Amino acid sequence: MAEIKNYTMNFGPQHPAAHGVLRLVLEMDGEVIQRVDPHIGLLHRATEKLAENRTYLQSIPYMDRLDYVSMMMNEHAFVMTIEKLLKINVPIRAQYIRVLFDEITRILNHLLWLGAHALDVGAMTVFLYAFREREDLFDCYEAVSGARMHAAYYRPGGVYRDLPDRMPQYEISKNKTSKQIKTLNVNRQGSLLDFIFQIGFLVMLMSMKHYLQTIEFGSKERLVLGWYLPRGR
Amino acid sequence: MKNSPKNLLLSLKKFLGKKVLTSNFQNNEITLVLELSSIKNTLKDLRDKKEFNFKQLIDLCGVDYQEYKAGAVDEKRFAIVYHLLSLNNNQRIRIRIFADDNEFPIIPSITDLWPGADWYEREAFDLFGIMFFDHPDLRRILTDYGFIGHPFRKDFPMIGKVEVRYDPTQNRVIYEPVSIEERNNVPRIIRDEGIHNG
Repeated sequence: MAEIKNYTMNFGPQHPAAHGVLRLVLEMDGEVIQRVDPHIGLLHRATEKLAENRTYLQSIPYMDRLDYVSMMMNEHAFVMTIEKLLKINVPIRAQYIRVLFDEITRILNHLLWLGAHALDVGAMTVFLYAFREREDLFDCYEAVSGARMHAAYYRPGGVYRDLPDRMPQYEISKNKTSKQIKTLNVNRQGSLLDFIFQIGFLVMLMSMKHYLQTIEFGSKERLVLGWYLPRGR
Repeated sequence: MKNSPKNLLLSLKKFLGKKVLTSNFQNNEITLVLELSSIKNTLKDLRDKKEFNFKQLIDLCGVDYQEYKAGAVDEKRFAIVYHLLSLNNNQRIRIRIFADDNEFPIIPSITDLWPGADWYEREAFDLFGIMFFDHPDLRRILTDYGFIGHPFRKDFPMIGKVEVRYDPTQNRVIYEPVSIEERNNVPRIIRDEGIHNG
């Protein structure tokens, strides 16, 4: 039998499959990792130490940055801990809003890994499609908190403010004609909840390809569906 | 209910007897402060005994009680907290032990009970300076190469001690004492409360 020795392998700090600059020195036995020596570099940001010297409210934005693809979920865990310790009851509407935005965050997160994973295995297009969908969800973040990623929207006892009655709309600029603006603003005529419903409805329609290929659309629906329609429709 | 946390607390107290220094039951969560000398056998029993069956070590971390003497036992400064989970019984407990010596805190390593404790103990050593007896490879894990001090100790300044910059004359990255001063970020109107005074 051939003698097989363990060998060491460097993983990172720059590796296409590692989306962060972490270096691992792996001791391999064939394909089995026997030992790992992690070199974390400066990735630890001492959030615990910072939170020790700040008030609860001042610590919320740090939570956004722990896992920067599930921003609001981190905030949720943090504010729920405070509520548990202080025995605070959260209004039912605030709980619904938080769960709604947790779900939006989850979809944002899935779209990121899906796009990045496709990129890793050599497909560019999936990444672009995924990031196009992320834009609508970032608009929801922006509508409630003013920030597109690091929202700092949750508070111990609820959220920063109620959902807006009107979804913000695009305005005419030197880059966009009034016709383009009209298309972009089709889903933004109502409230934030209307916007979420309409983009969700579009996703549902997209998943019903057969339906889209047989039904006849009027000009108004064509405007709403826009580029979501299969080619030639 | 057989598996309720309250019943678990009772059977834990009955089983451990005098090894339990204090116990706490809040929000349906059990916290036990245990004796240091027999901690390893106790954890082994909690892992292997059928009625407890805490097979998983969820977390292990250090705590510095320098500014919270009321929460500590006998003015001891450093503690280690274990979180254990029993999947079979759907139960969790939190166990805290205090190190005897405030200058050179040392606690038995549990890497032979849960191999996953390895990196957690390295983290507690790195950030709090707590030593683990019998640990196979007790090195720093999170801080920079050549780092001095233990950053999560309460007497470690929040701005750190050194800063890094590239020096064009020497053609390399150099370390210097920090140039910034520590400042209080808490709004003045609430500063008097708690630790935010000054």
